[in-house]
Amino acid sequence: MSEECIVVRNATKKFKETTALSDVSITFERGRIHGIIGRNGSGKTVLMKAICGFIRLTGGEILVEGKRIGKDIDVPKNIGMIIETPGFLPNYSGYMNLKLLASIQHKTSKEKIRETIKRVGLDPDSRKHVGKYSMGMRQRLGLAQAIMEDPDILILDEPMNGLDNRGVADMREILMQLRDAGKTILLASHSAEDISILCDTVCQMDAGVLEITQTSR
Amino acid sequence: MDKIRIVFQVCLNNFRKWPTNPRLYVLGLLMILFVKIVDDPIKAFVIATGVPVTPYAFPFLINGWYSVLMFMFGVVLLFCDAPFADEHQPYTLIRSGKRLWLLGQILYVFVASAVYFLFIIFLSIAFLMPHVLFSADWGKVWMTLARTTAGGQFSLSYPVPLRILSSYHPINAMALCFFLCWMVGSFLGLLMYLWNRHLNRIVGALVAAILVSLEIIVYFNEYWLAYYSPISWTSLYLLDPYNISTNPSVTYAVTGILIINAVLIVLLFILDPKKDVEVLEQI
Repeated sequence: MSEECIVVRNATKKFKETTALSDVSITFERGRIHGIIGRNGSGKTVLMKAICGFIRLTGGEILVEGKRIGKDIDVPKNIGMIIETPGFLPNYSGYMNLKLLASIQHKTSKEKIRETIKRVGLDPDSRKHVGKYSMGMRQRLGLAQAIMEDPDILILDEPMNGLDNRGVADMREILMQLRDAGKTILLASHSAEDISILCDTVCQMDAGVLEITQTSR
Repeated sequence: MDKIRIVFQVCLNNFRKWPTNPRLYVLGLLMILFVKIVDDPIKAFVIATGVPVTPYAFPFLINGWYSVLMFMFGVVLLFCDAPFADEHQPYTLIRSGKRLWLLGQILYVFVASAVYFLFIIFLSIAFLMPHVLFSADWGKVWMTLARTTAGGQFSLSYPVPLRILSSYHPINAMALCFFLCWMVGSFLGLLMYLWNRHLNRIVGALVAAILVSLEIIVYFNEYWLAYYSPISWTSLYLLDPYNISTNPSVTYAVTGILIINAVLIVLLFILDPKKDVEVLEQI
């Protein structure tokens, strides 16, 4: 199997007068954590959305596992993601929310969902509605929904937002376990510490332009 | 089979949000109050005469121009948040894929429209309780209201045309009326979906509201306009069952609304994949 998991070739995205991505080319290899850093509005989220198939590129192409997004497939298979705020049905418990999402693909079991909820530090038996969750709890549940179906690729946009120190430590540990299990993870973060601890490669974006690509380990 | 299940799950997810959407409580309350108000004169008539009424108020209810306006503006309120792309949807979409997600949303429009009009039919019967006689014919009350001026004396707010009673079996009239309302409601939902997705939400709701308002002009004798106003096709009073007058026929209305909905669905499938997935605030 090729080491290339996600290939971005000359990706350009324009929103009317604004260029959100400008001729971005980068390859994300399999089984690594790839950090994407940059200020707000630098194009990190747009790049992640384009990889997920949510945004159509104005120019260039993105291949996930060799399949062209928007041409061969509309959204990549076998992908988990948190982009912006994790959205859930506020009047259901965390477990029910994940169960309902999992019922779309039927790729995971009730037991696996419960295990995943425990893994991110939440209680699968809690009847508390997600509408009453703190931001940190929502982020944890967001990670659980991203990983519950055991996807090969994870797209995580600011997953540490709203987490306390314990939450950040837990999240880091889970991400490292996932990397060790061979998952490919794209991680956007404002935190230089998260990036330096977790990421195997780092790229920086500014005004839609990919500026630096470095391999940190 | 898997694809059908996915489409149903996407559709169901929208219904799961109903209990937390205040807009839908407002809509429900509005419809309860409105149907109560328009049903009250019938109930008063039934109490005064002591003769029970059959539960076929809906085909007459939808004949009053302001009833049509109320019910159809209700549909605009129901679907004004199309394309239903709140912050939960990306997590559904990544699992379903774009095409099945779109199919799920289209299914939602059709099912929600059916639920809405079934709710109105239920209310139109419930508010006449306990004076309802379940019978397969129209019964004395509707016949009397159609043949006399008693409706005016009891301030009945919609016409009870004899033409409907003589042309349709009551069950057929109920079924046809429901079908047309359901399809026209779905048409408004699909239209708003298309406009909201490809322009913006204000335009979608505005276009639908203008189409609904066209009913006022049609009602006040510009019947030729009824050929171009799908909202008017819900009124059995206006439709010609025998195709002998200048009014649109039942066949015209049924065929017309089915074709329009089919065209809108095709347009959605052509245009939707070309658009970015945007997360919108819940209305």
